Amino acid sequence: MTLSEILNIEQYSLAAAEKQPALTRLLEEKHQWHLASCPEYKDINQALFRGESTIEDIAAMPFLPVSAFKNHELKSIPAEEVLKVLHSSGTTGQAVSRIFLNKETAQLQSLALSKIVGHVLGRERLPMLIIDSKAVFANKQSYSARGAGILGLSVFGKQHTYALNEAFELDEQVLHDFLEKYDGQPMFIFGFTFMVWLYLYQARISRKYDLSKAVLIHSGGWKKLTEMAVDNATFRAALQEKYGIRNMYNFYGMIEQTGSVFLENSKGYLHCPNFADVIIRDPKDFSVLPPGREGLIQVVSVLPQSYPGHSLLTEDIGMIMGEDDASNGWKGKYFKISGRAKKAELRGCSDTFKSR
Amino acid sequence: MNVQLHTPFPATVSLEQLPFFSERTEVLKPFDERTLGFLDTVSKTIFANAGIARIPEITALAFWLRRANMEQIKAENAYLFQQQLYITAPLGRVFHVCPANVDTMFLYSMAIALLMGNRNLLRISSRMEAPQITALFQTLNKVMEREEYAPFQQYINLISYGHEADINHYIAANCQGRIIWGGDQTIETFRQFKTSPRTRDIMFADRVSATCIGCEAYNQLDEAARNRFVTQLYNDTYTFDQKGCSSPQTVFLMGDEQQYRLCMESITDLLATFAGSRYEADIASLASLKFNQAVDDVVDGKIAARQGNNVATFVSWNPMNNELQHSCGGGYFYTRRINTVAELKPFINIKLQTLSYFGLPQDEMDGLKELCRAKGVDRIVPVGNALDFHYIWDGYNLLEQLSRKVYLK
Repeated sequence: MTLSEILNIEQYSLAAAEKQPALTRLLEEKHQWHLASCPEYKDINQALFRGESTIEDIAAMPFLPVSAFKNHELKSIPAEEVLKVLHSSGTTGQAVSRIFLNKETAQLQSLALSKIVGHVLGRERLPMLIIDSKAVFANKQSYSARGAGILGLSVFGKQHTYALNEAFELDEQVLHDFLEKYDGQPMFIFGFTFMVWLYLYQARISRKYDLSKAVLIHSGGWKKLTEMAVDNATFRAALQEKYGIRNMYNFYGMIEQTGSVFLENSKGYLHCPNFADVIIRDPKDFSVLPPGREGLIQVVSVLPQSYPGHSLLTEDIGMIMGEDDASNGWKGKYFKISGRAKKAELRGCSDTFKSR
Repeated sequence: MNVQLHTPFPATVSLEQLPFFSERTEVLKPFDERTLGFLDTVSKTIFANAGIARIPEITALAFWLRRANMEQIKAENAYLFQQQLYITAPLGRVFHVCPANVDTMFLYSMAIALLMGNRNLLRISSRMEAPQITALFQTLNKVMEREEYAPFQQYINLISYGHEADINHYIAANCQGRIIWGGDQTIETFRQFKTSPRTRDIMFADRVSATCIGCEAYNQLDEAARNRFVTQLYNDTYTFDQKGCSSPQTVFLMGDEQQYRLCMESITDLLATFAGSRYEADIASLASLKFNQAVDDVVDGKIAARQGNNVATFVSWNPMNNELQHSCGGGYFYTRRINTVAELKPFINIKLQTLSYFGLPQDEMDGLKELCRAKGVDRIVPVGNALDFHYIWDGYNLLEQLSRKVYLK
């Protein structure tokens, strides 16, 4: 199976017996490409992994930590081929990731994302309600994260409507007009998970609105909601109860593997598309853990070609919940995220008076 | 200007009202009989507290505080007290800035200052909330409640406060000595606060430490002795997450290729197993921390290979790089094979604090001492003793630093 084939066939269609050998071969190609094109990748493979150029299964792939893109400029293309550089979000003062894209990788990313999102939205572009404010683009800091996310998903909608006003409150008139205009039609709602909760679900509204025709896609992580003791089940039940939304898809993805997103399946777990996979590693020695055991999440994807991001160890903790047996018929592994490795705080005698 | 007082009793008090700043009612001489009695009672009280007495660093502290040890220290420094030329007197008020995670260290330097008759104000990190530390505060408080030891309430005040500059200014202007742990950045911070012209500062700067192991001697050990060695290396390293400045971050292995390989393999296996069963750390965080460090080190050309697991990680340090490394901590060691200690020459400099050793032949030991005399290193100790406090620290004899000499004629 070629790269183009694995992207273009219907997503979630490959069961393990077919997917694993196909993915291994495509990843091996990527591995060899980056060995030849990115000296840092080659050195890391040599020093910290087996140093081989052949890969017999996905778990044998070397992997880079996500933070490697924060500390170093890693790319597998000459500088003049760089089309754009993606930057991760980060609070002030923190290092941000720099992801170097060429035309080819950027196109693969959009194609991949459209295959996944298209799988749940259909081929038509739908009227799109964005649970955010246009003001998000005014603020440079949040622009990189939320703004980029909104723009990335906006290509799958039309008549983009921002539901929140400049003060980040739900503009009920906007919601009312949007529903009036597209009454009875399928529609697409997108927002960051905590924004949807705080500003759509918790918004004070004067009457009931029916969003049962909508597909809600949301992302951005559960950290804020976990602090409020809201889990996915609570989230789903609440939005269904208040707005009648039934089709809800959370997704997990990162700027370091843009396009390779893991969409929530019918069991509420995150599902690997045909062209990506996850491996759970024992934090003690990075050995591979079987389904049901919790460890660090490694994500692999056939998309990254301009930078060595095809195999990444995240700092997220999770476990494989099953493979090829989701009730909606999706094939592939699915997993859940249970937390994140805390920033290790090892303090010694040179830490008595940390400045604010 | 309120501060949180922990010792002699928990309270929120105004800085100026601290017993430390009050007019003194008792004057303690260096090695005053009452001080020896007080420290010995603290030692006994710790030993009597089953909850903490078995924690190794606390046992070591209680053992160190015994009267017999204090008398030994006095004997070792007899010259300070037997001079025709001078008598030895306290400095006065001493302010200590204590390390956040090297839990017991502050009590040693406080005890030395107290032995010399000084009054002590200790700034403790508010993050220092481990139960054994709280138990130590309570122990001190309990002993100071006794009528006979009540005068010590002026002599030992442990406080916490934030980053208030006015508090730091006031303390700086009102003490005769400052002991500042915490490395270059902390030193820089506290230099901003103006002391009186006569205040004596004892600053502990950023340092790194290393260990040097004779492979041949190690390879000849039987299993039990190897396990003892690994336990000692573990204690030196993991007690303070490898972040104590005396904990080895670099391991030099002396021997030929074959001896080196055998030794390295054995130490890696045994330490990974031992630390795996002992070291309490959030392993997912540790794994990420070390993996990030290893990748950075490879990209920066510092290392060429990695051994062990994420609890005990050994990276072979590129021979092209001769600058002593700061480990990310938690058991991440830079290793280098050497044929003779003479090869340590490029590393022996002012940055290197402790060089612990194991299994070095006498001629190599002699060579090592000469190297250190010429170029740096403040402590040469056997593996297992890297963290042991001594009143000779960082090149100072603290007893001398914390006292003054009154010239007599």
